[in-house]
Amino acid sequence: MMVKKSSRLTIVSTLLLVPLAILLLTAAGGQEAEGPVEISFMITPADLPDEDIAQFNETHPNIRLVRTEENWTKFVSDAMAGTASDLMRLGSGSDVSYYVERGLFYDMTEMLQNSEKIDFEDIDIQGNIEYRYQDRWYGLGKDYNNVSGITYNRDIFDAAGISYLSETERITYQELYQIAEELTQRNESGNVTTWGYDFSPTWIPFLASDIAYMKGVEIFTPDKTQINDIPEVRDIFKFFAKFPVNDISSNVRNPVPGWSGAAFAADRVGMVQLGYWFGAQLQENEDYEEKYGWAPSPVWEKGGPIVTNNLGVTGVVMYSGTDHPEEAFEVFEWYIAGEIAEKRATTGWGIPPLKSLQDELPRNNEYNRSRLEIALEDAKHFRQAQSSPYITNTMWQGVWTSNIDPLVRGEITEDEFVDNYFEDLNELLEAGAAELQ
Amino acid sequence: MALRSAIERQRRLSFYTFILPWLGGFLLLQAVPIGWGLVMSFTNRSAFGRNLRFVGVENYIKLLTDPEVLYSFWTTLVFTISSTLLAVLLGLLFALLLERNVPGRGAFRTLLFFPYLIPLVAVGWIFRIFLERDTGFLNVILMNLGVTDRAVPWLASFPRASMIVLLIWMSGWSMIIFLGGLSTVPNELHEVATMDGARYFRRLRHITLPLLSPFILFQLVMSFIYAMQEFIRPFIMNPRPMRGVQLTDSAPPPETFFVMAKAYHTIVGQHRFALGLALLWILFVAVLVLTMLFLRFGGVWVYSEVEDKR
Repeated sequence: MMVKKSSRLTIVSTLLLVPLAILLLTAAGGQEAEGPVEISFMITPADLPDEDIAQFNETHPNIRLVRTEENWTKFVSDAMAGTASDLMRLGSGSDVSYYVERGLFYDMTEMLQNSEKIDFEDIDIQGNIEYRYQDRWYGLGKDYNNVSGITYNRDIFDAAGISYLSETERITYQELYQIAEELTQRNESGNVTTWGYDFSPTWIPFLASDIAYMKGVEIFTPDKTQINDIPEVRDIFKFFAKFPVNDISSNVRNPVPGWSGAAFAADRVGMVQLGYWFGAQLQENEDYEEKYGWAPSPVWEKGGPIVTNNLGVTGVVMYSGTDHPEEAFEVFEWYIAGEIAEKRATTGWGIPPLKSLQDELPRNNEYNRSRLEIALEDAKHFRQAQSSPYITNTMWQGVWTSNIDPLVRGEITEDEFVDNYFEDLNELLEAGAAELQ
Repeated sequence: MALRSAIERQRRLSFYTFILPWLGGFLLLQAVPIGWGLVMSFTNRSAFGRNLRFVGVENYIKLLTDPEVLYSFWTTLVFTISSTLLAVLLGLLFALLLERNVPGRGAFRTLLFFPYLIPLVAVGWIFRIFLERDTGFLNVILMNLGVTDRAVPWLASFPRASMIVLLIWMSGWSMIIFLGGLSTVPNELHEVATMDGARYFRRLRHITLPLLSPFILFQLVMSFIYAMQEFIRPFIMNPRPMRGVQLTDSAPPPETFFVMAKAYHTIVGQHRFALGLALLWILFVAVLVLTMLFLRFGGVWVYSEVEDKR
């Protein structure tokens, strides 16, 4: 049976047009409908639980708050497509300059200055400093910490016969190294069973920045497109490389099970620099009050300048392409200054970004009092981490990780390590700078 | 004649009508992105770049003169050849053993094929835990047997070998292919050879392997292509500690920083799209050329009942 020409045309047209229509209808699904405005918040469930979302949605009928998976890889592709979440939880505020230079974060300065919920004068400037770039505000920390502050395991100190650290007198970084060396334990076959000290590669830019400030040098060249390759800066990275090279910290040869904090909680690490928030996590252990001690951030030289950091502070930023900045800011205000913020402050997982909420922090026992006092003292010496708008902290961390192994294995010298490390960093900085030209 | 031509037209029309949705999908979702990727690899495209410009083969030259990239290709090739050969040889061995009517044959076949059914990510995690230095089961066994008195950090000291072992564990797929191939070998040939006094290994050499050779070549080629594109397992079996961050945030050690993983890291971790895309194109060409060479020279020893008319 022959099919008429007109019928053939109908079949072909249908086959072509139906998928196209479906495609268009799907695309049109994003158009605004009547009802509350949807604000998406890229954040972990731990930092924005379902019950808080439900509570917000109940009390704010004009907004429907939804949580999206925290995934910065997805953020990059979403931002390229102009469809990123309205609000984001940013792991480290030191990345603010990188994203601002690429036009991705909303300038919230006027919003914060005119906010009725957040008193601008109430903002703890020093604690939130990483969210200020070129005198403009791009968000606030959800809570901050003295991440260079020391937490130590008294049992491991006792086993090594080392006296506890002072809560008021700062040790130097050299002393930190010596104590860590003495704390490190190996079994008969030479494998490390207890590491004296451990740090994550994420910490490196911040600890290096503190030391650079204390030495009075800059890690980057003035235009931020290169690493400042001078002996003082090289020595900072050589100093941190010594820990894994000498098996005092975890390395590819003697890796810690899990990450530094988990290994510390499992009595496998003597000291960590994690600061105030870590104290809340350690309270999950029964004998936490007796077992863990606190000490302020180390200094480079006794009697020298004191500089500490807050690892960039985990905070909240707004996507510059949001269609609903007012509603997104309403969520922001609630998250930073509302009931959820008060609740967060009482847990002792971090120092609130608003001074008025800092009275809510737990001081119920010696343990909580001690870690808080040290944190607040350290906070007085916070400095904005030396960073470059041409590289993210994650990129920086990746460069350390890929370069440290050959040094640990003894395949290259210390100087070759620094050369390779700087070369890789400079390549990324150069690419980042070229991106903005 | 006119009727015949009308029927032919009708057939063609039906063919193109039915293939049209697929063709549309292919063009829109595959050909266009692939073409876009090729074009972008000749530019300075980055995630948030402001001025897109054509840079010619600059990215390709940069990659082909970068010792880290060349090492990545080298280690990918070493991994591919080792894992492919071992997986195919083991699969063949298992197939030959389980072709026979031995007790528990079905159970063994199931057991050997079972690892292949477990998702890639789960297999990676199983091996990561199995090979862990302090709590890994392998070290517990070896130390209890007195083979070693020192817990070995397998993932850190032997990252590539750990990955190869994992792939060998999954050689059940090759076994299934070869069992299928063995079932096509006519039994009469074995019977005749046996009557002529040929023993097992002689029959294996002169009957089984030649008739199985097309399957072996197929399996070698497919395993080779898959192994060259190994991606997620190096990240899962990364000996470095993980802390709630994305699996791909931390680069694997150089030995297992295979080309696909490196390209992903360049694109996603460093936001250098054009460079990463160029790396993927180099990988594509390398796989294509090596596969063609493989087929060209592999075909020499493959038995075929179809007469070669070359």
